[in-house]
Amino acid sequence: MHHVLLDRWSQRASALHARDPRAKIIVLLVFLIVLATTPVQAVVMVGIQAALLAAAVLLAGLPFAGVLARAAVVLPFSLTFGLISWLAGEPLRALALVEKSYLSTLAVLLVVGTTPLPRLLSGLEALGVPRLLVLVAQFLYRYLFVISEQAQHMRVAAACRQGSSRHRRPRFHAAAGALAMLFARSYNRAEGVHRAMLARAFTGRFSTLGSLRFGAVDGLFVVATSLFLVLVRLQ
Amino acid sequence: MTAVIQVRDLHFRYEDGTQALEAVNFTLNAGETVAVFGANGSGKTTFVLQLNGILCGEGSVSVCGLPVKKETLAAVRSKIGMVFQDADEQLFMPTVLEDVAFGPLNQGLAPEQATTRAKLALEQAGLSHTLNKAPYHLSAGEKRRVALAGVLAMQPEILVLDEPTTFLDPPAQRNLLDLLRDLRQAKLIVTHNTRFAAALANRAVFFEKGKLVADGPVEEIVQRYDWAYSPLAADFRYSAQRRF
Amino acid sequence: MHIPDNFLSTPVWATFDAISLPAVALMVKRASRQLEDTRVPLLGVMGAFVFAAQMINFPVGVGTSGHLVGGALLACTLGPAPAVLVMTVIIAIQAFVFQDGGVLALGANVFNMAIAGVLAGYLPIQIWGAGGRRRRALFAGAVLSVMVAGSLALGELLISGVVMPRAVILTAVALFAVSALIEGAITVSVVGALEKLNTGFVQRPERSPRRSLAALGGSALALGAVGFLFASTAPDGIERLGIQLGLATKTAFHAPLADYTIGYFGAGYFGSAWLRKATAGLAGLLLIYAVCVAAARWIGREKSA
Repeated sequence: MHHVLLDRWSQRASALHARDPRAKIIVLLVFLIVLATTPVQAVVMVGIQAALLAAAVLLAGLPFAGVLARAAVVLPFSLTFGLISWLAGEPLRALALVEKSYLSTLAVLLVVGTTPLPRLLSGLEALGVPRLLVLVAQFLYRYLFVISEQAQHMRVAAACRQGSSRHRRPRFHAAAGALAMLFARSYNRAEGVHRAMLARAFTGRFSTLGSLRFGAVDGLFVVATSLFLVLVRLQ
Repeated sequence: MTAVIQVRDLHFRYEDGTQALEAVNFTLNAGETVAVFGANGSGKTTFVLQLNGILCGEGSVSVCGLPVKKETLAAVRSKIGMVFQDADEQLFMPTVLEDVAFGPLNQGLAPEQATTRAKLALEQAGLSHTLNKAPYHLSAGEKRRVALAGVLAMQPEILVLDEPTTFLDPPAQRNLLDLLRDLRQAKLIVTHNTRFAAALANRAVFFEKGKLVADGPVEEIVQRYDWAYSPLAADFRYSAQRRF
Repeated sequence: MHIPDNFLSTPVWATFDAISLPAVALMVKRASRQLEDTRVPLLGVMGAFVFAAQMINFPVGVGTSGHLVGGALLACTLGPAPAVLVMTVIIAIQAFVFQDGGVLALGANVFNMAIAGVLAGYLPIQIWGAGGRRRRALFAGAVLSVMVAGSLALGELLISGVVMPRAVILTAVALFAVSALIEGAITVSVVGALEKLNTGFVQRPERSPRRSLAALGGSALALGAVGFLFASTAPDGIERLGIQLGLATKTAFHAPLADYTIGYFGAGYFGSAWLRKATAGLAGLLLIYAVCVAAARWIGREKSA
């Protein structure tokens, strides 16, 4: 599963992995905004931004080819529109679309590949994202793998039972039944989680262990990188 | 012997009207381990959920002298720790440490104290190496023990385990057995695994259709209700031989 | 439907970030007051369910299969406000973890799919969901949720100046229509199966005149948004609108179209024609709204009689 690979990448160790998630999120936003506002003719500027990302991938110790490949998820979409723009007589627009959307995907991938999601969520909460959303995201991520596995099993089981049925209708309703079953199991699982929470004296509010620490290195990282990006942009 | 659980004349009816528990009387004494047997749907889990107030029936239930009521729930749940059958439902935090610290935090401990308690509990369960792991990286046996650690971290006086050996392979079962043997708390073990129960408990109760119909030494109850696996396995072999 | 970064022009993504984020924050605040954190496991787990559900293929013939998007299903089982929250989280996780959709574009994607899509999808259910026309209401809701989200996304792309010839737009609309119909079929089928399992899973919306009125009005606007997009004179019209309003990025190499447009502006012809059409469109919307309000009042009076 895709997110399992990302999970593994985020568990490694490097200078980038060790940075406070808040620092990485801020730098990401600065990068994305700078990239978005960079005019497409400024080839050198975009080149510098790309080089910075490449350097970051190496610094993070992530597999270079793997990261580039993973960021290519956006390419089908951007290449299609790029082709359309190019055929409509706007090659520069096409180029801008493809390269900038690829680079922004790469930047996001860098942050998520060097920060385990729960830590990223803590960082987002510290930066002001509402607690309820962060908690729901945390639970979603926790059970994503479990429930996806269940869905996979159901697919296999359904395929086994299907035999050579050619008729669409029964297969459609069988799939709907499987989905309903998955829904019911998920719902019951949520009730089980709730019971387990109650059994351990849940008071109605989650408390955290709160382990984020913003250090001098993080501050330096944020300031230096942001300044660099903005200065390059303002050329 | 002090009674840590006292149940008198407990009745419970589900919303749809089915009588799930009827006139149940039960006592658990300090340091005792009692096995709970019964067919699926006989009310074992329903009974156990009454002890920490997750379900609320009529009659009197008291834990460590506290009547189980809305006002006392927080205190009761600190005294009686429950480990459920599905470990995935119990390990709902992103990391093992955060999950085991969940209980202590709810008890009002400060983050540092909660972390210390959690680490101690994990050490007790032999899982200190899993501190920062995500739950889905653990094996079934490890998950079960983390769930137990999560309960032990709250320092309860009573442990309730609902079908603790499900999904565990024999080595994991032995591991769990050794761990439970070393714990001083009074224990209530709901299980079909009579061997496991016999290794830990001296006493057993039997549920049938919502009623607690028997209470006595483990071996006697197993004999009386023919509750061991072995005779059934022998039957199966015999009928299979007959067919082929 | 998930728009990546660097497709939308800066004014567009920034505006939607400015709209969506406070809107979601407001809904969260209201939800927090009512729910405490007790409902968090349910919302999280059901969000994971939607992700997993997208893996299950529904055969729709000609060797193709569709899958569930989930907005309408969530709305009629969890309620509209929790559904908005869960969809927001899903879209955010899709953006960060799966690189499906951009980060700066989150505001737009959340608005299209989590806010407008979910609410538009719930409106028919709110109006007709409690009666005998349930299945049709569900179907309409699911269809609307996909169509509104898709139309909004298309509109945002166009207004940002992304080059989309008529053929491409029509193809996109056709694809959305097919997805919408599939979503409708799947949603109705799954809800039917759910109710057989346990009628408690699916909520029955409570009937109240004020709510029905709001729902009718909202439906009209939702339909209007979709209709406006289709009924507008030409896709180029919207793109020109974008350029006019300064929302589309201009490049020096935009030459061919730029001359064309400047000619029009110079003549002043396009300006007034657009105004006329826009006014007509708006008047039409207000008329639909007025009719719906009257109808809702009439229904309300009938009920209380």
